[in-house]
Amino acid sequence: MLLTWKRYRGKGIWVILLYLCYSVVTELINTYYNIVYHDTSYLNFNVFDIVEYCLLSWFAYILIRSKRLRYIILGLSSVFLVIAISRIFKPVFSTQVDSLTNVLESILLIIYSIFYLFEQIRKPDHIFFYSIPEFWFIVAILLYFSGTFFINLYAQGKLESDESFQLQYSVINTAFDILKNLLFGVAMMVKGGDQSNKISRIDFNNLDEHLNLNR
Amino acid sequence: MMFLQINSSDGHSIPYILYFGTLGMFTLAIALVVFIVFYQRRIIQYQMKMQRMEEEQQKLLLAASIQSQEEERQRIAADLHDDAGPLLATARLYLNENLVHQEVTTQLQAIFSAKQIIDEAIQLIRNISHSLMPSTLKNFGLESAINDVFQKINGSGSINASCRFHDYRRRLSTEKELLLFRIIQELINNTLKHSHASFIHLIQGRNNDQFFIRIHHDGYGITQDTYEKYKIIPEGLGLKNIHSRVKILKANITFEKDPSQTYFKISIELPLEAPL
Repeated sequence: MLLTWKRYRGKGIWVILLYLCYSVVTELINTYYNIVYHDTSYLNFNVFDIVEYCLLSWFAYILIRSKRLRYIILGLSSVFLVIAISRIFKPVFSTQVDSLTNVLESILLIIYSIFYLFEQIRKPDHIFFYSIPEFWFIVAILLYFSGTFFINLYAQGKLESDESFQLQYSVINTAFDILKNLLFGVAMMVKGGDQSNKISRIDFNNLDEHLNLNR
Repeated sequence: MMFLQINSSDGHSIPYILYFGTLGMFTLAIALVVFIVFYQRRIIQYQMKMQRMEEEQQKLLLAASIQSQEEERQRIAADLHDDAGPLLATARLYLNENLVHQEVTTQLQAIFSAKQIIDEAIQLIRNISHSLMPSTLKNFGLESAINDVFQKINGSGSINASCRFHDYRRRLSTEKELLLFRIIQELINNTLKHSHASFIHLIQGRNNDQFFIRIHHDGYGITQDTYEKYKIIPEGLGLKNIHSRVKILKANITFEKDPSQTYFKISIELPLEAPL
């Protein structure tokens, strides 16, 4: 990301950067906790889910143009935050993986990804919208949360006690995490994100003009 | 959470659900992305196709316009060369240098003949000029010009032609009148040439901010489908000229057959306030 930073000026990139930094910090904390205390910090896991949701829904909010969809995002996010914060005060939050928060996060982020893709079908930002970085970020989010949806659904109560489940969780989660990071990498490499390539960006309010249909 | 807890107690069923669920969700997400990408590509292809069709149509219209101009020039050149040229050459013959050596009566006779020929040439040039821009249209407006055309058609006795202007107190701009006149002229010519109609009737009116002209005839005519077809094929120069003029006027033209199947109707509707 840092290598392509100068070239890339896509919408909401700093949110993704923040998200990646936060992911790295969480991983470091978890590793430290694991090495020093030989235990897993579920509190850190669960807090990460909430912050992850906030950052990624913020990213989706920045990308989506429709006011109605934005209001829906705000509304759903408020509901999510109320549920998530209420879960913080329960003892299970610091001793187990909170599947409810996790699953809710996945569902909502999948919905926002579909919102974005639906909007892009109707009013594309680009003639070929898969050649802009935002598309690949959203695809990464969509695939990651779709792939880890079921494993997160079953994680609560099993991840702490069942060793075979821990292995399954680790394999599935890591596989989709790698896929997500690969797609983030693709997004960074896409040249459509380069603002000097202005021809590729279109005025979505006047697609006919852009395609020279009115000549 | 109830659902989670109930299933969690069944130790064997979870892995299958987990694997199939994960695989299913992942496949669904991939399918969604692939569908959206292909769908968007299809939209783009459709728009590109529309663009190409539009360009083709523009080319046809341009070609028709150029051909029409060339034909007009050829007609004017032929009129000048075949009619005006010989007339003026004959007049020159009458007025040659030897005329001064002739007798006075012969001189007067020659001058009189030359004057007649020059008058004829003037009339011819006036006719050419009128065919380019009818003076009636310029001076008295569309209503008078159309009336003139219909009177001439009636005078031939082969067809019963009539026209009625219901509301033409305020004239259209000169450019609009000329374009409309040319469209009507072309439509009338087509009707006279191809329809074998026994009557042709034109009415004009206004409907709120719309100006309309309707032409009815009882011969063979074309419908909207035929007109649309001729717009995109190289044949049908006259119809293409009509189409390009209609486009300039930002008007609508419709060709239809009335429900009783007894006559054809052509309607031209143009917004009064639209600038050219």
